[in-house]
This record gives sequence, C-alpha cells and structure tokens, in this order.
Amino acid sequence: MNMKRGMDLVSRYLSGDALTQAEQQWLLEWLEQHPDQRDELLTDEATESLLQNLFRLDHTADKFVQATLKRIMSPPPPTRHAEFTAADNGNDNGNDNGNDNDNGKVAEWDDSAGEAFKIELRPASRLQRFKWAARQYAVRNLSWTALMCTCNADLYPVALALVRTRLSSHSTQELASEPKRIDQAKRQTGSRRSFPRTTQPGISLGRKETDSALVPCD
Amino acid sequence: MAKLSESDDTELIRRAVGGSKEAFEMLVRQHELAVRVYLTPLLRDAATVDDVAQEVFLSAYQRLSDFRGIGTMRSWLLGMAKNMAKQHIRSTVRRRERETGPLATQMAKWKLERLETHGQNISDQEEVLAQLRHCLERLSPESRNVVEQHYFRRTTIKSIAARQKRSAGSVRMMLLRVRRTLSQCLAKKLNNWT
Repeated sequence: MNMKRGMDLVSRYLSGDALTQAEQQWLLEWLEQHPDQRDELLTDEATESLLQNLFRLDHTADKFVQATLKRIMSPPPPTRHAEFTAADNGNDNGNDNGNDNDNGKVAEWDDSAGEAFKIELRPASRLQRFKWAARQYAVRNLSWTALMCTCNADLYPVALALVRTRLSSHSTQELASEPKRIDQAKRQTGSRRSFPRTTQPGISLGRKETDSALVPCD
Repeated sequence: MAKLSESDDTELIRRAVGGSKEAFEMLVRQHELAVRVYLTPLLRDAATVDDVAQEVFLSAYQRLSDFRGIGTMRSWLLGMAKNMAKQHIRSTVRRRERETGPLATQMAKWKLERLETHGQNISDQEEVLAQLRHCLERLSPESRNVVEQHYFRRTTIKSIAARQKRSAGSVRMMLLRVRRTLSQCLAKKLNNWT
C-alpha cells in the first residue's frame, strides 16, 4: 500500500503536479525510509530532464551560440562596483566580479565593492543637491535663465556662475531688507508662516550670505 | 561543420586569446552541446540550463589565457559547469526554501550530496544523447508513442489520457515505468550514468 502511494506521489511530482504540504511530508519520510527509491527518483528526474530537453538541445544550437556571443561581447551589466568605477573613471572597466579562482570555481560576490561605492556616491549627490538649490533659487527669483540652466546638465557650470554672480551683486542693504519683508509677511497673515527650507543640510555654495539671499520673497 | 580535434582546440584557444572572435565562436559551437547536456539533468529547467551554460562560456572567455592545456578544453568547461551548477543549486535551496516546499528543497540537497560524493559523469555528453535515442528506439510502440506525445509534441498527460481513454494516473505511471526502463538502458550503455 505504501509503495503504491509512494510511486503515485513520485509520478505526480515528476509530472509537475503540485503536491500538498502533507503529501510532500509523507513522501519525504517514505524516501528517507527507502534510500533505493530515493536514488531511483534522482535518476528518474535526470532522465525526465533529458527527455524534456532532447528536442530543444538538438534544435537550438545556433540560437544558443549567438546568444552566448552576444552576451560575451556586450558590456558587462552594471554591478554596483561597475557603476562606481564608470562614474569615477569615465569608462566601464569595473567588471571584476571575482571570477578569477582556479579549477573552475566562481567566487562569491565581493562585498568590499560596496564600500567604495558608498564613498564615491558623494559627488553625484552633491550635484543633485546643487541642482535642487539652483532650481529653488531660479523659481523664487523668476530667473528664467537660471531655470533653463538647471534643466540642462551641460549648463550647470553656467547656472552656478549665475547664482554666484547674483549673490555677489546682493548689497548689504538688500540683504538687510529681506528679514524685514519676512516680518511684514508674518504681520500681514497674522499667523505663523512657514517657508520651505532654502538649503539642504550639507550644501555650501562657498558664501555665508547664501542662506539669507535665498530666503523667498512674497 | 566538421568536428575538430583536440589539437584544433589548442589552436582555437591560441587564436581566441589573441582576440579572434571567430575562434571563440568555434569553441562555443564545438562544446555547447556537451555543456548543455551535462547541465540538463542537474538543473531541469531549460532557461536555467542555457543561462548557466552561458555563464560557463563567459567565464571561459574571461579566463581563456589561464587554460594551460592540462586536460582537455571540454573537461575544463565541464569542471566549471559542475561548480556553477552546484552553486546554482545551493543558492536555489537557500532562496526558495519557503516557496518550493520541503520536497523540492530536500531533493536539491540530495542532488548536491550525490554530485559531491559520486560526481556527475564527465564522459562524452554527446554519447549520452546518442544512447538515449538508441534506447528510445527499443521501447515498445505503445510506450514510444506516449513518450513522443508527451515529450516531443508537448501533449499534456490529461490530453493523452483522454485520447487513450485512460486515467491520468495510469498515464503518469506508464511514463514513470518508461523512464525507469530508459534509465536502466542508459546505465547498461554508459557505465557512469547517474
């Protein structure tokens, strides 16, 4: 009886039928008790795989070769490490994923690459912060040139120069008048008025006046 | 394409190391069947087999200059295929323990155990296919018909059962018996079939 049930479950498993948790557990115990059947099952599975793929193996050689060559000749997928080195060096020679063991062994993922990535993320992040700050400035001061510059990555240096020029042209008088306007705004609304943050933590455009210059006006 | 000898392999490797894409393509052509046939019983799923086989050739391409000619190119490739298959099975066991259920997980563990203790046959893989075809020809017409329907024409067990006016369970059992007959036949022909 047990043998019949065991064979039935084995045939269902190899046909790809879903076995319930209880059936799987029963079959596992049965196979533990019958090591010969376990070996048979492993061999059965191997034969099943060969039969399933016999036709495909015969008829897909060209396709396989082409796909393999395409994969070999295409640039390596951007691993975390590759992204960092590409950004840092201006090329993509960072495909060292550690496949350099002997005897055909493939190395595990090298996590040390992650550390390098974290460190080198800063410049890109700083650029993002500058982009944000410049766009905020442009919108508040209705400077279309600056706004356009922030939309075009090639013009970031121009935008930066523009912002700096504008900042340096602020007289001490203008800078002094701005808090007054804020006070006026507070009085007018009669309530506490909050302004969006003008600077992100860690941003520095090299001048102390930056913060007050970027305070929004009504 | 005419089959190239081992000495041709050496020449092709030399040219491939020198940057010849054509030479490497010939190497892939010459050994792809062996690598894929080797991986098929270990990994089952066709897409996984091709993916791991591609990894084998990719790794071979990156390390071609390391190949010192100790043993044949094929055994070098199959050694890599064995390690990659083991790695894949291990990662599948770890990753899918919850999804696949206890049976598939345990099967993968047994497969690994078998692979590590006995080793998978690293013999002529084309011979495995040739012998399998030969064994198929020796099946009874009824069994061969079911095999053809199910494996080559992709007819479901349910449909075969309906056509033959039998239960699905009896068709499944018949396929199991046929596979065991084929395994015994292969074991006789190839002394190191799993």
